[in-house]
Amino acid sequence: MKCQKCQKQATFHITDLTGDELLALHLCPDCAKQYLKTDETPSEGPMTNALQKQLKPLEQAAEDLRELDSKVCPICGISFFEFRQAGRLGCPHDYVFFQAELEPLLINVHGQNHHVGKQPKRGVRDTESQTELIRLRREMKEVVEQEDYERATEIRDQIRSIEEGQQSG
Amino acid sequence: MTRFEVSRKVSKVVDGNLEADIVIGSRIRLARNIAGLPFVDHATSDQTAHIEKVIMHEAESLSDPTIVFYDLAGLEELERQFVLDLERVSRAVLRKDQDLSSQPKASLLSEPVVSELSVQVNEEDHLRFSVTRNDCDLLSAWELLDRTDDRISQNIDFAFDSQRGFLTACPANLGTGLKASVMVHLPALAQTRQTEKVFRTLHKHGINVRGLFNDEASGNFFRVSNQLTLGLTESDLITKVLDAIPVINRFECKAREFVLDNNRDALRRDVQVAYENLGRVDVDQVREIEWANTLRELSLVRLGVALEMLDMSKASQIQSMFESVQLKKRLDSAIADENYQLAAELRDRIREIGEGGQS
Repeated sequence: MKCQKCQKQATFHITDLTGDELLALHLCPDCAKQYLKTDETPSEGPMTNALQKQLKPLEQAAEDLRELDSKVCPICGISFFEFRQAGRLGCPHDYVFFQAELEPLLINVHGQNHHVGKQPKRGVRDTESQTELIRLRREMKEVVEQEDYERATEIRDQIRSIEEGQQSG
Repeated sequence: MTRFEVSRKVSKVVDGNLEADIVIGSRIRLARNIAGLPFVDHATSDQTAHIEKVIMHEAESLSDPTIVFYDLAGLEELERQFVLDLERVSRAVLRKDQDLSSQPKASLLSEPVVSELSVQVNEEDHLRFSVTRNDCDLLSAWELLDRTDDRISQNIDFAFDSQRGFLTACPANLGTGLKASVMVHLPALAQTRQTEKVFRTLHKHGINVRGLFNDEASGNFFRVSNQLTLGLTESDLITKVLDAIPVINRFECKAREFVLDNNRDALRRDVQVAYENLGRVDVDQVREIEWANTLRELSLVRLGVALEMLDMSKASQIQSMFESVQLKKRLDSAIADENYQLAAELRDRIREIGEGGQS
């Protein structure tokens, strides 16, 4: 469902009471936030108080979403917001790091969340060391930029030892 | 369903009466990423260069003569798809004509391209490879692709998780990373404005149908594919797509009958005009061809051939013309890439066709 005030996805479904009329609102997080703000001005009457009680958790939810968007994968450095904008993840570890956030999306797209197709012939590799490789390579780039070649040497050797371990394994 | 049953079912669609001829070709692609590296969008240029080196090394060691490497890096996404698909369409449009052995000019085109393996590196995923066929035997295509995948993965670790399957840049490809598609030609459904209704119904069953060139005026060519990639085996996903083809075919046949009953003369006229227009296209002016219009005309010619409204004996001329158009397009990009060796080859082939057409 689309937000009634803009074209974004509506995730807030608010039932508002104006006078005797029931008003159903479907809003995106941004517009919901805006809507809540304008209603925060104190006024009298039990109706308004009840309304504010109802709206409080929604404001909380908008807060949660912003927090979720700013979550950043420590391995590749992509934020969940960046993923939502581009529709593409930064590295394989994102499937682990953003697991809770991606779960509903996977169910929505595939109706399933479990792979039943083919597996790599060589068997499944140690994902942890693969993830470590991505992190180390990123760190190496950073320390080289800072001209910290001593640290770069250490990282290079770490990378090599992981790679060698994989080849013999 | 066994493979035999599926093949028989589909061959019925393809080899049935002329009205049933809706299939242009098919393709399966697999998306894979190398473990231990970020996805393409977040990789450094050193990393993408490394990925290219590793994959090319493996792919070349397959020493498979059917592998075609498309060097498409310089082309826009849409144009890239366009080059690949348009080539398929123009080859398929007049395929029937190839049976006429009295047409030596078509010899260059009548090489029996049954299936082609192509490899694309550093697109959305590190590796995307696909098998394209000019029929809809997707299960044979899968056999070849499966085997190739096994061979490539002997030396490369792909990003894989036992619960999530093969890990892809976009979650929409997660799991199998497999997209099976059949290219179909549905002129009568489009003319009677029923495509949307049919496609919506298919969508509910996990089948996605899009215009071939993401464009409404794309000459009534469509791509039918699996919507999801996770939670089903590769062969189940493929079977799902294959099962949709006879259904679509029935709708198209009905629509063709309707058009013939109500609009036969107008259609015959349109087919004739389209045929004459295509015959007038000058290969030397290919850059000025209006593609949307040309595809519409190709669509009409194909329909005309299927409904036996068109004399096929002269049609090979159009086919040669289209081959030249493809080659010229490639020549342009070869020159842009400063790949003059390829440019020279293409020039010779274009001349060869030109001389064939004049003699």
